[in-house]
Amino acid sequence: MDLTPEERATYEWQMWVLGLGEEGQAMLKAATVLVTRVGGIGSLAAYELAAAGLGRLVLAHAGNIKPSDLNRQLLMTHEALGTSRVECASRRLRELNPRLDVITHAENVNASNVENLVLAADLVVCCVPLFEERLLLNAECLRQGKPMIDCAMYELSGQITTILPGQTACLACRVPVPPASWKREFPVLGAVAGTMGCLGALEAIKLITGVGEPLGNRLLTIDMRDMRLRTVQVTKRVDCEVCGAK
Amino acid sequence: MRVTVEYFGPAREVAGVGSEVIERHSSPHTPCAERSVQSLICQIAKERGGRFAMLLLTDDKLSRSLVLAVNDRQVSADEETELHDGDVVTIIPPVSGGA
Ligand SMILES: [Zn+2]
Repeated sequence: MDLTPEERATYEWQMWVLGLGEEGQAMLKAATVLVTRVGGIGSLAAYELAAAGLGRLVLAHAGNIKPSDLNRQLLMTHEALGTSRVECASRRLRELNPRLDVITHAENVNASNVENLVLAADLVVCCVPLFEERLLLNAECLRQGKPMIDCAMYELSGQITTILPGQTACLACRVPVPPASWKREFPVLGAVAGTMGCLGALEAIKLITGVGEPLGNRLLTIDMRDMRLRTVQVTKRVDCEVCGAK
Repeated sequence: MRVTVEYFGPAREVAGVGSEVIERHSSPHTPCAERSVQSLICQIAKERGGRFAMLLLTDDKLSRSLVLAVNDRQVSADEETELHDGDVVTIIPPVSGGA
């Protein structure tokens, strides 16, 4: 996919990144990424992908914008309170990059839509608040052989890993069932969620362009209260019910 | 034996610190199971009780969904991994914050 003169001008500085170049830029233009949902993490993931010149984004997120979204869901606006989250997100993304194709689904991932949502994308950036949704996406990505970047946060901490079907541990290796300790409402600071979203976008860009080393079999965990980082080598479980030998 | 235990996310919240150094007396005669990372963390959780134990234990055993690592390599929550002086143990409970 050739770049237009406008694209060459827009991504000039980015194409100077070692290993990216015009070829990597063309790969980004040809790629489709599913970002679900577009909250505190997903907004930033989608925004950075739009900025980087991705060709198409598929967004899935139900509901309308509430005041309590606005501390972190950076694609939402005060003016759009009460209106559709994905529509507002799509508008904001296209203000930044009018060349971007955005497909919106005003619903969250569930058992009946997950197959088609994943089918529409080359890879998935998972930014959802419930383990049930994460595990659904994990299983479907494995089934379709598509990478999933698993981004999560809690309070002032974050976790991210990249799941490559057939090559790495999957989410169910680590979290076989939704843990009872996880609550639907949790403390969240926008800058923390946004950091994880940016890292998620970065992993997606790396996978698409082949630049760098993605977080396969490595779980990066960050405590932003005192800026401690650990990258833990995680292991595939042979008895995993999703990716293990059955 | 001195080991450093590092807590992340909700584990830091219930531990009240990001990391701590823990001293345990053991000799070469201590049975392996009692010198394991799993038994150490189990022991700490039982000693502290409350929210700490609730987060880390399921039915009195280490929860299977905890990521437990020794020197940055994951170890299984339900097998025994021998600890050595100077090891760094990392405890990472699963989180799913998004949206
Ligand atoms: Zn697995």
